[in-house]
Amino acid sequence: MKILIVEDEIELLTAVSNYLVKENHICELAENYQKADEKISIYEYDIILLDIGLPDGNGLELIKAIKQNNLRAGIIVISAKNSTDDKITGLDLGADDYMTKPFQLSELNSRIKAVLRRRQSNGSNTIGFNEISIDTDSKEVRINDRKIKLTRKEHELLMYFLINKNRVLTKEAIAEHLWGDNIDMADNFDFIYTHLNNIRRKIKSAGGKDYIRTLYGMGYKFADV
Amino acid sequence: MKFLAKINLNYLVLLTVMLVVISFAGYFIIRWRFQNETREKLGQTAELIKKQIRETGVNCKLYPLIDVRKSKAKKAIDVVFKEIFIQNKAEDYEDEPYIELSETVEIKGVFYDLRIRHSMIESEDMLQAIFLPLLFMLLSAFILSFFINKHFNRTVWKDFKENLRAIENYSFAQKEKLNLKKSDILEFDRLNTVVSRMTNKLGKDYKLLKQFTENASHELQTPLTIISLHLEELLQADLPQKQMEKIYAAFQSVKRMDKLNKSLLLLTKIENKQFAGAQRIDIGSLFNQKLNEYRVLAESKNIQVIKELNEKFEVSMNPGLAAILVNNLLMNALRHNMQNGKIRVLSKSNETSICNTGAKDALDGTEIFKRFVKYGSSSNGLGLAIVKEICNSSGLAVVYSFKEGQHCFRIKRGEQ
Repeated sequence: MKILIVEDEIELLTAVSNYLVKENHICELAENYQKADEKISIYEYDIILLDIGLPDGNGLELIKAIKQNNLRAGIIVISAKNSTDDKITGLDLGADDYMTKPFQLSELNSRIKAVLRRRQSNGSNTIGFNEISIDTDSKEVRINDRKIKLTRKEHELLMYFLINKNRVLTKEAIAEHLWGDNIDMADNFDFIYTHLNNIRRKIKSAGGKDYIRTLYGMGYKFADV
Repeated sequence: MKFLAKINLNYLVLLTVMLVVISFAGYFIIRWRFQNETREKLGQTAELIKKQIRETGVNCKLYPLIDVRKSKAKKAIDVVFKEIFIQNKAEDYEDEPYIELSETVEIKGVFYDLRIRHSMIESEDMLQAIFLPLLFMLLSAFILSFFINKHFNRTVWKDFKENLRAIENYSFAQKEKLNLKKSDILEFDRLNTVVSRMTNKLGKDYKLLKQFTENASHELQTPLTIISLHLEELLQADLPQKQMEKIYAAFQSVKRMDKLNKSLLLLTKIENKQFAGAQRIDIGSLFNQKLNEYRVLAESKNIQVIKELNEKFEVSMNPGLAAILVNNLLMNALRHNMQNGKIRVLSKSNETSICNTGAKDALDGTEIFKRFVKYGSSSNGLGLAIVKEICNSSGLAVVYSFKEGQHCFRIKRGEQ
């Protein structure tokens, strides 16, 4: 997928683009409003990551420009301001999602995939990994064509693993993905373990393998055995 | 006391004092005039009697009005006036007031004591006949002027009152400027100018402050993001466990710093009243919603959750703040709970309370709401400070109590 990253912090820009290139995306970079505005009017993108705090203009204005010239692009607004005003304005102007700094790459990846899925009107919407497949529309999970029933949170968690396979996912990142910013139980992430055990049990009982590895008490990794 | 009530009261007191003083003075002045008149008349009568004696030698007598006797004293005494009381022997034997002229004169070699008196009873009647209507007219004039003054005051202060209300209802968080009504009274107009100028200045400062907090947040969040992104990438590398643990510890600290930064910014924003837009919110059902969302958290500690949410506790507040309020209280009850503990949420029409098992002893009910007061290392010590700040800014009150091993936080309407 072709992604435009609009971000004035070069360090951040590079970190995000390095990661996205590794995930097999094509990345273009714009470090200010003017460059972003040019690129938007010339090229087509699938996803535009937009930091709204730019030195030479308000990123919210760019959303309007994108809506005029680049309708196909999904917009994810990135802001350091955890301000509801900006969030509502951004989404009202037509942004697809809103992320607050600091964010995590695995979370960014999930959001990008979610926006892409929502924008794909045709074709199959399944995410698969070996014997596991998830239909993102009907939320059905199958193991070798055997349907298993997951709770909403278990479903979200499995999706998160499949989208970020082969990556170390910290307990913090998982908790934040499932419960949002407000979760604040640094001393106790046992509930993630509870969810994971449920998923493992359900997949195993349907004849699937356990792909979830525990990593030194810091997190988990979903990878082929 | 209201300004106008104060003015009216002062006016009323002044009028009463004036009325009393004027009526007393009036009474005595009229009385004095009557007495003077009577003394003059008595003098004239005395002259007539003296003339009669001189010309005819007849000594007239009409007790108690005219009483002339030959004097034993052998010298003339000048005129003296006295106020005396004489029993009325003709009618009811009561003492009646008289003015008496007494004088000893020599007429044709004989000395006479002259006592001529005049009853004051009629004058007293006359005094009343004049004084009472006067008093009545004065009183009506005063009452009338009191009400007219009251009415004028009200019209004069009307603009002032309206502007006062406008200032009371003004909030810096709103976008419109403060609009004060123009007044044709110079002092009020000056006051309006000063108030407008001050609010404009404060409004600008407020905006700058808001921008500053947001900018500060931006400046901190970006480096935090870069650190956390790099650490996340380092975690992906296949490094020895010891190094992984160090990277993870650094990652956790960045997370903590981020939470701290966000919490402090939130506190500043609440203090600056940057959360406008109140809605009616049922705190009880919000608890229910969050409890469902965090069910796993309770289950992981095997905490029993008891919900008694039959009654609605509806308050008017910003929905975002309400969510944070409930979230923090719930997180607090979960975090400081123990294995196999209990959480009980009770909603009544005038308050909602959340109780949890946990530490054996009561906590300090004022200390726990202060910033950076921590019980256990896992929290940043801001959760309850935020709860308190949200309550303060939303017209609510939060009270901590400890009973039968349960730590309870009650949210109720505060005094406004």
